[in-house]
Amino acid sequence: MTKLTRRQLVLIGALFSLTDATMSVQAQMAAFARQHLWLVYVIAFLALLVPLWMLSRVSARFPGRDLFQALVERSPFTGRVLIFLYILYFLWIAARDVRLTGDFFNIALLKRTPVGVIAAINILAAVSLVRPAGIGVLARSSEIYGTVLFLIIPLVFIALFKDMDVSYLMPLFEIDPVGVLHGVWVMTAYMGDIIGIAFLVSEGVFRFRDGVLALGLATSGLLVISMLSVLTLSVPVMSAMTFPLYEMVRQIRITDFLDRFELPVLAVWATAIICKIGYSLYLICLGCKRLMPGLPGQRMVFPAALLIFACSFWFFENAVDMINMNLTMPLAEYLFQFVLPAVLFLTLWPKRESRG
Amino acid sequence: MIARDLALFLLAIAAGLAADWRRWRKRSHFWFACAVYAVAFAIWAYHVKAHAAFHPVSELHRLLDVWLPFGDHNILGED
Repeated sequence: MTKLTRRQLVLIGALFSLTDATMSVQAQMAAFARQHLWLVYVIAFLALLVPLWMLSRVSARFPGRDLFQALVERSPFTGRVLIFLYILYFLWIAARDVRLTGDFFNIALLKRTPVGVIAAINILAAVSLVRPAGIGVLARSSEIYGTVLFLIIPLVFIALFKDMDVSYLMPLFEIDPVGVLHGVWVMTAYMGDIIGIAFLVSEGVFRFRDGVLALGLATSGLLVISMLSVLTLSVPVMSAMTFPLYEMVRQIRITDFLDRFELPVLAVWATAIICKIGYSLYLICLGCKRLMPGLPGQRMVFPAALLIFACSFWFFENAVDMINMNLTMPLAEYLFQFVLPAVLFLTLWPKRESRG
Repeated sequence: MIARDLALFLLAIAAGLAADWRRWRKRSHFWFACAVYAVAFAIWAYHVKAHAAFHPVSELHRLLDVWLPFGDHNILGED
């Protein structure tokens, strides 16, 4: 079993939280929270600290075991039911990411390539990362692409500095609390995917500090690029676009020969989201392994990947539904991100050793 | 089109089974993997054969949208 280093875990957590929160949800959030997007991130960050802390406490009660193992060990039947539910949750995340990426590339870049082909290539790339060595290759890939992705953010800031207009932030103090809370509703569900890192730690203990660092890194990255988008595009334009952050990056012209700066940025982002699909795929296989003792998780990679592929098309009728579901699906996602971690925190204790 | 999509999916299943063919220690594990393949194929076949039929997340959205106070908002924002 591969042991994750702290740096790898933090980067995995940050990518888990950040990668697909840069998509269409940004436009909805801008429509709700207007120029006060920063407030959405602050509230989402504080809210997500709660489940991360609860899961870190549960992990500390079962050192050397992952949360799936702890569930089965503590209560074989109920534990397996909960594992099955979390497998469905990670299946949902992976299917959503595959379809989101497929639709995005189909709309923005590869207009003549069918979504199915793009989705199949993404899935195949995730399989090739997970199948050979489980989380090991995936973690090392995250170290490379996660680092590059987070280095690009200040670069984008520098490149767009001249295009910023502070007047887009006005009126600064007229905060619409209801709008901000609507923004929090849609954004927290995306950032809440970070709870997956608590299930990834198989050796040692998932530490709250690592979770805070990962969430802090993702939140600050998202905050910077969202506010950059507001400052360069303005709220009305941003909320009318399908992929506002992509449109913002398209504005960058560094030199005459590098006038398509969005392509290297997209290349790094695409690899990062493939890593994220890989985390979900790995967690599905790990869940199956814990459901059926002795089942080799490595051999579940292909079947799980095909299931993700099929579900990514079956779940959503069209690309518009992918955007609409951002409003309603948090209702289901919060069950896994807040309610179930609270249930685990309150109920999952190690068995008492009998004395004498 | 339908036959091509189904055949490609079956080809992917065959490739997956061939890649893991000799490594199964327990028969029950192999059948578990086959069951997952079967579910994936059933979903794919349903999707390919009945394009405008039931899509769980889309239907769930329609069901829950009525209850959300901000359900009318969409990607276009407010006029």
